[in-house]
Amino acid sequence: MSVLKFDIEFITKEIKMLVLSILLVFTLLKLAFSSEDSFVLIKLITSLVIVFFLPYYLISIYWRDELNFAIRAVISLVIGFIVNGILGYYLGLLGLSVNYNYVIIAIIFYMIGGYISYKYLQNE
Amino acid sequence: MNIKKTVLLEISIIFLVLILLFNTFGNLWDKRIKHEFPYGYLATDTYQHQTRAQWIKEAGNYRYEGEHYSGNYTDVIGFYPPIIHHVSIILSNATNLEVYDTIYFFVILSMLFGVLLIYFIAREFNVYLAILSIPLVLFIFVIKGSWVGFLWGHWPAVLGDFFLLSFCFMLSKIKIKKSYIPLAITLSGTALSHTASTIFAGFILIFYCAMKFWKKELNKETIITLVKSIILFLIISGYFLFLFQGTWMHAQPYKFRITTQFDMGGGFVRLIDFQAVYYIILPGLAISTFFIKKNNNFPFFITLSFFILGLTNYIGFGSRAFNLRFYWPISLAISLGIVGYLVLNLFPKKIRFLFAIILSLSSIFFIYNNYYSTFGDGRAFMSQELWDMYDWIKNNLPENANIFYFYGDSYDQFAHVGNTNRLATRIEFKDYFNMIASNRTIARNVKAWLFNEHGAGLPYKKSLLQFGYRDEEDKRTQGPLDYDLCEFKYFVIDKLSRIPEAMAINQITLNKIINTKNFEKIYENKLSVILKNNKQGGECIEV
Repeated sequence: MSVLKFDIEFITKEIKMLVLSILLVFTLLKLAFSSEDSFVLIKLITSLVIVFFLPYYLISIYWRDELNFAIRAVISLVIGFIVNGILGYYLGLLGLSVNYNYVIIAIIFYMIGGYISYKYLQNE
Repeated sequence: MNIKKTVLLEISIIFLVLILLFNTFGNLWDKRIKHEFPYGYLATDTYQHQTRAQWIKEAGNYRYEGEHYSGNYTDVIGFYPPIIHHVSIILSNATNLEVYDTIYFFVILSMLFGVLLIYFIAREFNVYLAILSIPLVLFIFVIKGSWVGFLWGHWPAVLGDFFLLSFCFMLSKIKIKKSYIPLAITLSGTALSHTASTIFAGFILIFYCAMKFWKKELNKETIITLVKSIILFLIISGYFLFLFQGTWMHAQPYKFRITTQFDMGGGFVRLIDFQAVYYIILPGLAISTFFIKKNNNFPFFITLSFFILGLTNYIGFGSRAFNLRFYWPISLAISLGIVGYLVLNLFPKKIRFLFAIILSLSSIFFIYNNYYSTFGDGRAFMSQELWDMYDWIKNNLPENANIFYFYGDSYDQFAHVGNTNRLATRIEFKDYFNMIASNRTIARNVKAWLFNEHGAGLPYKKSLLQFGYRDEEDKRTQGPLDYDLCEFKYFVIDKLSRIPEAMAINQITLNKIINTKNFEKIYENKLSVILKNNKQGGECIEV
């Protein structure tokens, strides 16, 4: 029977790149919006990551052997925008306020992403 | 050079380009993200999207359009492609930033991701092509026909272009597992952001299949993936496409129209607008056609597709073709890179990477130094006083109030009045000025416009599958029509103007109204005064 173990090397590398990317984005924003309070920028980046990026990035681990980190990261955010925009719209039509339904959308996609990343972050 | 150094240099180039673009926008935004009122809104269309998003946020859903910009009708169905509004609302809720900040930020962010996508697309060929292509994107803020897309509010169109590029990128990854899912999602992104982009996506798919067929690479797997993605796309977008055919397709049906004029404001991108770089990208486009035969041809396929589709105004696609040209500084970038790449091949392999970096940096410096400029005051035609007045109206006047606006410098681009959440009727300026100039007074009956967003005919559901159109039933929504001034309960008169004559004319009007003694000032600030008519239907102009 094979024992499942997490691919620690891959996970460490991905986390490093994630942190580095976030720092780069923060620097970019700080340079472009230098008069803005850093707290506002941090909140903006955190929201983008938590709502629009992370759930879809976790799903993108499904393609870890076919797409590199940078490509997965960009596509995750693009997909995050589209999914939130479309589902936010449809759930609003169904009666779930757009002011709250993004939490539901995030939870659903965190669950899917959590399952996929759990499955594909393991070495046999 | 080792891989780590190569990647670091690549990141540095991308970072430099992104910071130049972001910084340009940062200047327009006064170097801040959070503002007291909408910043950098340079045309009325920007407000059209902002006020709609604000309305949806307050309503909680987009079943219906706001009655204050729909001729007072409460049943006008939400017809606009909704992604931009919903993403900005979600971002607003998550960050506590105002919708007027998040909607604009989202558009600019999408542009930066468009730049990253074209970089990755070019990198499919090789890293040299990517590095040498990227400088062209700086023309986004150089060519007026391009930056108006972002700063004048052609936001659905530029988002449509962005999602179209995303779709193309996923098409380049068609061989990955379950690629039909991201393909379908990105294609749906085009449909629910700017549906014309979906039509262009259809053409790109046809080109793609034709190219694959020509190269004898069109296999069963590819066809199955494409069919699956189209089915999933129809499931995701079906409801909105149904709305689209009943609303936009009715109000603005496709008409075969050859045009060289962009009638939506701001002009359009022409190759010659790339100035000296034009003499590089023109041969670059020609060379790209030869590279189509190569194995790794996708970057050239994308550039040529966007170029050809951007020229479809000459074969009957009208101004929709120009929408695609907003993105030409991004989508044609490879035509610059390929020329540099050919030059690079003349050098020994050992120094090619270094030379590519130097060439790319030189191009960035050349474009930035020769063509780049910053934008003016980001407040444009919004001011703290105007915003305060709108805020006061929204919070203090009855929901059914119909407010009459006399001349104001900012009222020519009028969509920002949607921020009051109240009906707005604006005097016809030319008529107003002529009237005062010739009679030194204003008549009781005046020509005026009822503000409304009737681009899709103000559609409403007659039955489950049938639409009616308020625009066709009610001529008030088309204006200008004759109105009896004295029937209005609230008047807004601006006291300040950049035009001294206009200020004097408004002062005459203000005196004529006040002298009737039927009015009271209910709000006043440095810019404007709001008068309440206590005798609606009675005398409202001193004879």
